[in-house]
Amino acid sequence: MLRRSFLAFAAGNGLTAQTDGSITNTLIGKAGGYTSPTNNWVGCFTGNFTAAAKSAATAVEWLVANDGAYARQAMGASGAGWTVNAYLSGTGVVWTNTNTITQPAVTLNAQTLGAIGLMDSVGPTGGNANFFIDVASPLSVAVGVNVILSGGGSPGLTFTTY
Amino acid sequence: MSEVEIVNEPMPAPRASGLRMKGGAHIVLVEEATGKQVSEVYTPDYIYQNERCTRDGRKY
Repeated sequence: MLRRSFLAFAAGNGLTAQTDGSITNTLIGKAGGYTSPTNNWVGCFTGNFTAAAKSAATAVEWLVANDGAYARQAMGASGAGWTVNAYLSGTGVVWTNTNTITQPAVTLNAQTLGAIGLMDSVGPTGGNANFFIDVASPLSVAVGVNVILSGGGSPGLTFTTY
Repeated sequence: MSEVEIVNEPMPAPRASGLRMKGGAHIVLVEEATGKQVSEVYTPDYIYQNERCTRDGRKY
């Protein structure tokens, strides 16, 4: 009889490597700590941050030069875009996006979606990716197509801190 | 033909020490002009956290 098990994915999710470092500094009161953002912006990336690198530089964000409509989408200031549940024993703290996030339809050139990154600035370039979700099999996004993360009861983004 | 046993692993309990974060996405691609959905994906940790599907991605 065969037993199917699951191997670790090269794709990753959670905190970026940079945020691992800054959060650690915050916890111990050392310089170089985490800077709480005024908002989170959803960014689209061509490749994976990867489980190993956990890096926005590895993933490469979409560019306005390639998708003329590309813009990071705001989650909602001061955490308003998130529904954060109380800690649950056996699970942790589950938090999801409250509102539907819609990326403007792609223009100019088809894009590849390999990751969603949560940024600390409106961009469309620069700033920091604080946490992310890789798509193990990147999606082809044709011209004229929206990337949509639903909100509410069937959220597009789900995180657990544990 | 061998019989295949599919094992759905249980949700891991929080670690007794440390701080970790995991995240998952449900992404839908929609053609703006027609409203037609052209693609939909659940990443593994979305499935895992929301228990919407078995661990190997099959919806129940």
